[in-house]
Amino acid sequence: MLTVLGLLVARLLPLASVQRGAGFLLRYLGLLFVPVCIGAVRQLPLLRSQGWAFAGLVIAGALVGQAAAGLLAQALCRKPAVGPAPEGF
Amino acid sequence: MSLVWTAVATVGTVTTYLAAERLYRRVPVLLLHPLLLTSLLGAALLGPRPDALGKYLAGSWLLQWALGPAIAALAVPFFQSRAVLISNPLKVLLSVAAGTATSVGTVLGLGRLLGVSPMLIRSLTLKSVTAPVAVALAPDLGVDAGLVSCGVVATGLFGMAVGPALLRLLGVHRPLARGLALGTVSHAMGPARAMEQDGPEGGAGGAVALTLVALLLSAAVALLR
Repeated sequence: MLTVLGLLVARLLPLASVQRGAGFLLRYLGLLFVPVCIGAVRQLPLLRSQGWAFAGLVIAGALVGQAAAGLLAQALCRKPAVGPAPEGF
Repeated sequence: MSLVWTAVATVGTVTTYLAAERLYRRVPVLLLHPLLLTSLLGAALLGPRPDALGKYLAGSWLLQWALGPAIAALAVPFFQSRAVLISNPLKVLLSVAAGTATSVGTVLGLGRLLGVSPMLIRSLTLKSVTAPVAVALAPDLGVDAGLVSCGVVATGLFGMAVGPALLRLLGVHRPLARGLALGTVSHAMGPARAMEQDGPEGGAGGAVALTLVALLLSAAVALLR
């Protein structure tokens, strides 16, 4: 990723040449991830015994992280001059 | 790796996912998110048959391989949203780092307090990293990629579901701040949600945050190793 980013910043790699391919990959990121998720059934015993802990940590971590990032960014950041929306999501 | 299983796994996954996506577009209920629905269907079908599961996982090498190029592809939305970072470099970095540190800290602290298995705690430290990077980092932490992916998907969906309301409750109304917060926690599902809720500025914030989180935690894992 850093290689591609470096090439884009240095204008060695024109954005237009990778835009479509990258947009396509990111558009279907969820699809690429399906086999790994299905593979998670092998961890079912652990998830079953610690399901409550799993849910609790996910919920607490997400709430705290979002609150911290949001509040800090709101207090600190100026409004940027943003161009068109990023593609692929 | 047999050709038949490659074809079955790839075609089966793709068609199921595309069908799930069409359903989700008509009935946008979070529990019907195509990734969740397809994975649950697959898990229900293959879970009781370890033999077929192994063959499916081996057969789906093409999809799993594509996660690598997908990491490289993340550079594109990041580059397109560079205005966000250029306008407030330190402040954006600080916000995303604070969100990541508190989120990981909560998992570590609360996990230890509740006596959760260390394996699960370690897997969940990667829960806000975008899926392809999280899967790539899993072996470095000595945890199962499947377990990590459960955390990643659950966090993405939960953050996407409650994030906008939570931020409104806290009085965070600026699109950039909302986008950064959503991207920090909900990785790739964050920018999508931010764009839908707060327009291009939110989406750009989300894309930048997602990439920064992946870079920060990759660096942290590399240092810890």
